[in-house]
Amino acid sequence: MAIRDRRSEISSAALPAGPDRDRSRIMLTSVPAAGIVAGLALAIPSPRWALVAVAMVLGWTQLAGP
Amino acid sequence: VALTPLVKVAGRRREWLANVSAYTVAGTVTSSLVGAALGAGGALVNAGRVGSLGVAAATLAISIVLFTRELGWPPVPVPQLRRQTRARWGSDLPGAVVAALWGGDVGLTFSTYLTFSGAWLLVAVAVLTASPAFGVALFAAYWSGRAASVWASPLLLPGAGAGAVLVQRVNRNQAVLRRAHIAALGLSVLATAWLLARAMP
Repeated sequence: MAIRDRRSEISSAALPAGPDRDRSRIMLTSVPAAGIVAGLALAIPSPRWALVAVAMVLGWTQLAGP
Repeated sequence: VALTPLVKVAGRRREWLANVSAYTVAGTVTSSLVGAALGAGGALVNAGRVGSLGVAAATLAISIVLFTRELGWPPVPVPQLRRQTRARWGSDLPGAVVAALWGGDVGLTFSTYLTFSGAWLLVAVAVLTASPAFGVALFAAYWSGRAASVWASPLLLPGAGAGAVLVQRVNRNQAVLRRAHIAALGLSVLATAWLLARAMP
């Protein structure tokens, strides 16, 4: 999405800390964590399908970009 | 950011649902087409002739290169188009239409910025396996991760006028997301190493 320009606008904004920060982190990491666990569970019986779980996590982490 | 704030506006949740659904469906279609095309391309050049051992070895090698690249070595830029979806569509077109256009565009995977290198692993695997169906599975899964972040983003948004906060919350967790990306590439290394060990005579 078109958010890159907005990042520079808000880069100097104050960052909330404490519980708010922890909540964001938990939410952003819970999905990839679930994907990694699913991938690990699939890795031995079906390594090919483990790559599908890998793909899902790779897609989620693209959230870090524009 | 453009799609999410509506969910926090009283009476407009249905509109948000329609827009995000249009975004998701359009992206699923284009991502699947990309995966199918790569798998078909692999079949066309007969990439499968390397055999399951060759596919596993090549996938393992590429996974290791991308894994170490994300750890900082080699410090090479990710090959990509430095382009974003057109924000202008949002002012010119109805909500669901523009959401579908954005989803379709982002779903093409390589038509917009890539923050990390992992998408190239999927290209390699889709081509090497020479299977359009598996290419669809890989790219649809990749898109499901991208679209899931849009579905989940209201959880990071305190109010309708707080799009900037959403960006801020994602930005300050960039290192965490990078680590998750590295972990996924590490999992690919493990899975393909196991595949290779199994395929060896």
